[in-house]
Amino acid sequence: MNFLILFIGLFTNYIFGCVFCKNFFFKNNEAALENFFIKNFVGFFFTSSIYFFLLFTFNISPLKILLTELFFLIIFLYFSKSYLKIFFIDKFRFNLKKIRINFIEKKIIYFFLAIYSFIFFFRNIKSPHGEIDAINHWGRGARFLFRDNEFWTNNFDLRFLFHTDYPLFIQSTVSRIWSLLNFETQLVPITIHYLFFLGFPLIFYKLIKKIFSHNISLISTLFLICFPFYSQVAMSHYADIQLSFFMFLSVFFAFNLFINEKNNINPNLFFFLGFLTGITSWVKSEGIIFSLIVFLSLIFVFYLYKEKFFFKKIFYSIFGFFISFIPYLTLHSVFKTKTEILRFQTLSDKINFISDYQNVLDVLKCFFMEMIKFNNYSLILLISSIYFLGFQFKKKKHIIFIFSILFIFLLSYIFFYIFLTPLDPVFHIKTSLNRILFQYHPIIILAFFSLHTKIKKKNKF
Amino acid sequence: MKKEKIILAVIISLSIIYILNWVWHSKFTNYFISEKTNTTKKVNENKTVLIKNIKNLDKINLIEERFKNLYKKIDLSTSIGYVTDLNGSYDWVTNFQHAQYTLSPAILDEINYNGLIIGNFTDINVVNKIKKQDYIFCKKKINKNNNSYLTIEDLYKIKNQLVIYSPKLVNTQGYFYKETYDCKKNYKISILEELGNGAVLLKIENLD
Repeated sequence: MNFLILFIGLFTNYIFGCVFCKNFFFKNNEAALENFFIKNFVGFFFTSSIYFFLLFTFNISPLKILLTELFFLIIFLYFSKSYLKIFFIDKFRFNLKKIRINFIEKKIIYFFLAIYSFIFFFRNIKSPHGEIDAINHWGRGARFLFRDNEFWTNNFDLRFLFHTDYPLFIQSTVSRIWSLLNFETQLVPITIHYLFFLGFPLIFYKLIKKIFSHNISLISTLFLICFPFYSQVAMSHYADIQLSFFMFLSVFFAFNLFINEKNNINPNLFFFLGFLTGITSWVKSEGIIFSLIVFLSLIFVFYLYKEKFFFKKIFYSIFGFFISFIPYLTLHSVFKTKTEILRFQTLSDKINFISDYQNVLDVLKCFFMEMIKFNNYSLILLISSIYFLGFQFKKKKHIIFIFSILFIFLLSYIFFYIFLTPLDPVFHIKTSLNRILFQYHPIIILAFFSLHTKIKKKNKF
Repeated sequence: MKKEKIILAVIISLSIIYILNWVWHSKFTNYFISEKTNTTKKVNENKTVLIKNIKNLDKINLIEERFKNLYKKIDLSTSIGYVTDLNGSYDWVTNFQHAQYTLSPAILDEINYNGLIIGNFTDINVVNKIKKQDYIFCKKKINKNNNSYLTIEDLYKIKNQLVIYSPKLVNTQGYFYKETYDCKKNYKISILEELGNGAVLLKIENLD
């Protein structure tokens, strides 16, 4: 019975994804497996948000979860059919017969994924709870939400060590599935992390293949998965792959919008872009900085090209962002959880620190030295940045957009490490920059290849 | 086309090197290597059963075993105290975090608690030592210029006696102050429940 309920719950999750992103990334029966992954991942956002709001009612039961999700699905379908043309649903059949996986074409990707899958499962037998950060932030959070509904708010009374201000995408998703099953098992977080670990490269490959040649898509996917840090992050149960996935999805969507001028006319598509960007804020706090970076880049590109419907497009994207930002906003306004940065900030300490220019130089030196390390893939970023600065400057909208994202990303994190971090900046850079670069890694790859290769075809949404 | 093939070959060979390098440095490989050497065998013989367990298993699995389902028995509306015999600052923090993870949604608080205290010890003879009152109870103090407290180095020197710490988590703004400890003998510690494997429920009374 529990497994039947779980199946219905997972199906609801899939339908949410179908309704929201049907046809935007892959057309009907094109890349069925990737389509399945993408819709489930986006569906996780809706179901985890609904579960979070349900927690306020206490005494959660599987039936309560399913009925609430059904209620929201009906409302969602009603609004999407009547008012917004971008949301439409015709047939959301998942036809297993039409899954055509070309093994010869992708054999290298499958080879690496197979090796990593083996290591993934071996590591998860030894450490089913993940590494310390995952235990502290995501696993502990999921247990607080699931174990005793009456005391789930205890989560926000913990000491600073546990980062209670982190958003609840992973925690809610895991806790929701435990609630549907009515028991707690580590197989759930392991499976979720494995799905993202497996699904992201496949989606990445197919999406890149839509705009670049087959070889380029293959090379870029290898760039993504070949280095052990990718699998290390997944095995450790960190949320960086999930964040990286949603970040790439929104940047790719915007990138595609700028490739095809016909797409660019419809302001409704910017609503979708804003919504996708907002999802990142529910996955990890870095998503908020990312959203700001995307909006600043959009404004910059629109201003540079004197875009038609400038304000309308910006308004639509910010409106979309605020809708998907609601869960995070609720979390912070209800529980008054200040972010770690604001909580421990003492202005006098910071002023003393900045006033000595040697400190600032040390931070900048450490920042760039960490980036140059090959393990962090940052050579690509640097080479691309040199291109951007004038060696091979191409006045194309999509290139300007993606490089303005990278440029603002660099500036914003330098600003963050010098002015905002509550920790010793050098220590903070050494412990966090590799993960932040990892989050931007797929975008960096896309930017790099967009300079060197021609667009294969223009995709119309 | 040729360029792409070269890039492809470079990436594949580099990644294989990375994988081999990673496997070579992994705990799994090192375990087999270390088992073969005689010196490590001698060291292993001297270690207690628990320390062997910690080495072979992931720490969290051990703590999960210790405190399994304990959260169902305790009052979740108030916070619970936490003491340990771990004196390395990083070790105690990870153990504290693991214990918090296992006992969720109970709140562990090493300062503000009412009555119940969780003891998470690596010394499995903890019960006997507490019964014999063969222990020193210490509280951590973060203080830059105070020599009246014991330092962690002083405490390392204490052998054959259980040192129970009630560490204090203080935001140090990322800068590391010298750790000092206030050790007192006028505390009475009594065992409420033995959970096995170095885990106990305790009550600490100040005799002043």
